[in-house]
Amino acid sequence: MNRNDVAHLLTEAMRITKHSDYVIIGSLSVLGATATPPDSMTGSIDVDLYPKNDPGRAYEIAARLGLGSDFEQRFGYYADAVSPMLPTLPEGWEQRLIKIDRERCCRMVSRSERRRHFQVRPQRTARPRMDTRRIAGRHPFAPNHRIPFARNTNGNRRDATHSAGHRRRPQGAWH
Amino acid sequence: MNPSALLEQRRQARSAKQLVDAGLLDLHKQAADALLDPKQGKLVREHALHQIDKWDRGHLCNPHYVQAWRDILSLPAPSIRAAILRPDAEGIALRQNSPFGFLVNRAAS
Repeated sequence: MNRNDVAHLLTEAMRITKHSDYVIIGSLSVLGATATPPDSMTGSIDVDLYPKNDPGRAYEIAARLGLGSDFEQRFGYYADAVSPMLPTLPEGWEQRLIKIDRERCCRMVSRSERRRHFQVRPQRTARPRMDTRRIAGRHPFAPNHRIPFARNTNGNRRDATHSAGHRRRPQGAWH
Repeated sequence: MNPSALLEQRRQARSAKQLVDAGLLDLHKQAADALLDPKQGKLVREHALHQIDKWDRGHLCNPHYVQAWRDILSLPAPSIRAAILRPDAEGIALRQNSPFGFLVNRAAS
């Protein structure tokens, strides 16, 4: 999981509780310290959390976004309610919490989630390219150079003038 | 907050956590039963594998757990129950990252 996934979950949690500040404990809290920790540190599908100013409502979140919820079935990860009294942490830990800006995360989520969950991204097809090794000594993109047996990357013969002057976008490509 | 009140709150938090863990174990007992059921076993296995594929595609779950669950679901029927309900730390971690969430509502009803 990454920050986008967590931000997505917190956005849903915020809709439920109307609270904007959440504390995440457990393995995924490493995402507060760095956006790109090693994969082995973010391999859990449950986000242990509670609303910072109303921890009791964590169970309400878990009921709606927890294991077995529609959210979990759809996205593959879930919220796990914890109490702030559960972990044994060093004195002053609350002052050392790392705040992550939700607005920024949510903007990232809205883009990435749209791509990941709501749009089918067509496969990018390879554009035919001229094999420049066969036209050494000439600029490959210079117009009106007629090189009858230039070949594209598939090894098929291709008229160089045509390919340099009329590059077509392949059907279904994503731009 | 006085120390005894703090300790009491900690006890309550740990009790709540134990209840959640027990619920998770019950869910997996039910999952093991469902997988061994001749009628619904195949469907439950496919549903679980679908969820694991989703983790894999989205890089959501540790590849170790992804592979471990795939291995478990490919086991022959007599071994599958023991593998799902193994009592060691690995078993607890696996159940925390469970592909059987779809059985939760069934367990509650």
